[in-house]
This record gives sequence, C-alpha cells and structure tokens, in this order.
Amino acid sequence: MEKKIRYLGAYKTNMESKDLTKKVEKNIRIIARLDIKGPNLVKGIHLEGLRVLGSPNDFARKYYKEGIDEIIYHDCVATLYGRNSLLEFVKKVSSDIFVPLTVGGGIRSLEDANKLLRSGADKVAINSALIDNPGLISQIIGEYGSQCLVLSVEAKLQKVDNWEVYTSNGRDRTGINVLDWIEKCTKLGVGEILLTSIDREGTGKGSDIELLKRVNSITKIPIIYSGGIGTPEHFINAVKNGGADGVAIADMIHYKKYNIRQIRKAAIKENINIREYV
Amino acid sequence: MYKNHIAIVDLGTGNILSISNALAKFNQNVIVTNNKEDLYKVDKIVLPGVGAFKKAINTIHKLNLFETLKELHKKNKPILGICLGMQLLFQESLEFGSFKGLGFLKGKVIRLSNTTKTSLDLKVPHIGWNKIELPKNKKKVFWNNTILKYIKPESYVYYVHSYYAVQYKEDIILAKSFYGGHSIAAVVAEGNTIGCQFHPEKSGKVGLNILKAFSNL
Repeated sequence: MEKKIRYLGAYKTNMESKDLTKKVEKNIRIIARLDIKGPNLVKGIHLEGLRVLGSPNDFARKYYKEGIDEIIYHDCVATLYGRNSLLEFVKKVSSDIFVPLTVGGGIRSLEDANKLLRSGADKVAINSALIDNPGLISQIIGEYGSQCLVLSVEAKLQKVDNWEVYTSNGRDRTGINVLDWIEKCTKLGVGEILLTSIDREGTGKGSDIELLKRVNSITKIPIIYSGGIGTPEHFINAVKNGGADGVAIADMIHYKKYNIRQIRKAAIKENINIREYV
Repeated sequence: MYKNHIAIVDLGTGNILSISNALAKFNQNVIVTNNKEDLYKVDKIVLPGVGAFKKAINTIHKLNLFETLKELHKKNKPILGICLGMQLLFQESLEFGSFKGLGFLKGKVIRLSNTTKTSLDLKVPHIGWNKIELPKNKKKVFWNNTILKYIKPESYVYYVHSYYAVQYKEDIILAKSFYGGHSIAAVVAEGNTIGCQFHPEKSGKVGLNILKAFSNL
C-alpha cells in the first residue's frame, strides 16, 4: 500500500510540476555564477572564448546588496593549471557577503576542499577529481557532511536523450553518460548537483530543458541548473518545466541586461515560491 | 572573564570564517579555539555549523570539551549552536547510527523524510531560504529579549540540512519553519542555551541582526 502511495507521489511530481513548489514549501534560489580566470570575472560562450569583465569580488558584493540568494565562484582554468587560485578572493569576500558561497574548479583532494572551506567557502563543487577518484566523495562527506559537496556536471548532448560528461570547462570528453554518472554519485552521497549545459552556456538562448527534466526525474537531491539563462522567462521555464531547485545566472546580470529584482518579481508573478527580499 | 569576547569552538568542521567575520561586525572579540581554558574566559560561546554529527561529537570528546561545555551550560553561559551545532545540544542524533549529543536540550535529531506530508517527493538535503514563523498563538512580543528581537516574523533565512530536531519540549521553540509540511524547529532556547537550525551567518541582513542580538545578550 505504502509503495503505491509513493509511486503516486512521484507520478504527481511529474504531472503537476507547476504547482509543486507551492505544495512542498520549497523556495527556488537565484544564484549568481561567477566564472573566474586569474584575477578577473570572465564570461565565455560554450565555456570557451573568455572575455574579461572585472573583479569578481566587486560583482559578488554588488549582487549581495541586490539580494542574491547564493553565489558560485568557479575557477575556469584551474583544472588546466592543476590548482584553484580562488583562496584569497574567497577569504576577502567572506567578510562582506553573508549568503552561501560555493567554490569550484581544480579541487583535487580533501586538503584542497579543506583549505577553501576554512577560507569562507560553504560548499565545494567538484567535477573532474570525482571522475578520477570517486572515493573522494566519501572522504569529503565524512569530514564535512554531504551538504558541503556539490557534484559539478558539464553535460553535452551527443544524440537524442544522450548527454556526455565533459571536464576541464567543456574541453575534455570522458565517455561517461550524464544520467549514469549522476545516479552513481547520488548514491555515493553528494548533497547537490550543479548541472551545466555546455551546449547552452553563454548563449542566452534558454536552458536545455530536456537535460534538466531527465536529471530531475532520477534524483532526489537539489539541482542547480546553469547555462543559457538570458531572460527572466528562461529562469521561470527552468523552474516550472525543468524542476530546477536553483538556477545559476551569469551574463544576464553581469552585462546588466536584467537585475536580480526583476527576476524575483517575474518569478513571483508566475507563482514561483521564492525568497522575498526588501 | 573578558567582556564582549566570543569563542567559536573549532571542531575542524566546515566554514567558520563567515560566522567569525559576522560577529566581528558587532564589536565582538572573536576567538576561534578548541582550548577549554578559552571557553572559561569568554562571555559567550558559539558552536558552529556544518559536518557530520558523529565526527563533531567525537571531536568534542577528544578535545576534552564535553565536561567543560557541560559545566558552562550549568553556569548558564550563553551558548549558540548553529545548524549541526544546534543538533549537538540535543540528547541524541540518528545520523548514520545513534550518537549521544551534549544533552542540554531534551529531544533527538532525525533525518528529513524524502516525501512531504501529502506524499509528494521532497528534496533532501533541504537547501534554501525559508520563512521563520512565530509559534502558534504567539505575538511578536514573544521575540522581545530573545535573539530574534530585531527580526520581523516571516523573515527569510538560509537552511542547509538533512536532519532536524523532534520530540523536544514545545516551550523551547522560539520560531518554526516549514518544509514539505514538516515543522522544523528553527530557533530554540532554554535559558541561555540557544540553537538555530538555519545559518544566521548566511542569511543576509536578517541573519546579521540575529547575531547582533546574540552579541548584545
């Protein structure tokens, strides 16, 4: 009997996704993603062709004042150079911003994670190191709890309903299927997923909604979607039709096309549960 | 004893720099320490926030802080437990087994259900911003003289947790939140023993005002 009810619950989730957030008192997060190279916030298309925008900490402070729910710092050349260079940035900014900060890029070991978490990061997002060494998952969650570990997935569409995991900022293929990989890591205990669509990244053309839907259907941990969010409508679509728990935005706020208040307002108008910020 | 000195107990768990930076804003001399002598000297103690219950309570025992904290609790020294730190204040946690906590508050800590009260799927860990609400039949004055004195009911705070307190004495509840129909003990207090299930140091202005009130206790 109980099984049946659960099944109905899951079924309802898919069918009535529009009203789901209301029913579960879940609030969707607006998350600023800052891709960083050396001392600069950069932005590229398909994670390539980087353009310099300015100091990441200045942007982070500004977004904090405007009411961002969370911030992601991503060192986008770290894996290439084999290190994360964000330590000093994170230390400095943590005395000014009091919202959650996730840091990713080039984290290879428990020691790397430890350094960042002791410098003001709340979570670490890891991609390639987990592929090379899935044992790192249990090491990190045993020490800091699963909520500290974000599985960063760079997904690229290969053929219909088939996405491959990439690493090094969309540079290297792994031959691993995205859904298989996420299922495996979820079992190993990661606390959250940062799902980046390489196909959509930097295009401003909206999310890869099929990818998001598929990932959402196989996992019970929160998903932050990233890639292609160019308008508040894209944000709303990723939440309502894709089931994202958080949506990472970059260009649209870095280039001041929209501000955070506009996104929040649009989401509230669409009946999406979201933190009210005044 | 030093006035305006707060000790953050360093259990080797995640981010404690943010809480230390936040408290420093309110003219507090913040010491990050795992030395029991320091805990006697300061006038307030913070038990921070993230990690696994088992590891944290084991660390408390290893550092010989268990008896110290117990003694200071008896003397009614203000202690603020944040997230995991709040869970440690209770008698028992069922995170990956069954482990005894500090036992300052009656109750235990259990895992959030993966379904809502109405059997819909629910994401765990619970990560995100939720409202804190007054307990039933209470008015705003209920928060006077507490760490919520500067806060408006229904303000948003940031949560990240998979476990929550149950079977507590109802009168320790200062504020509640709801997630998937489950009632979460958001802020608890008994004497000067205080717990926040959410992260005030990550809850923007609202959170800073909570820490300001704690600093002024």
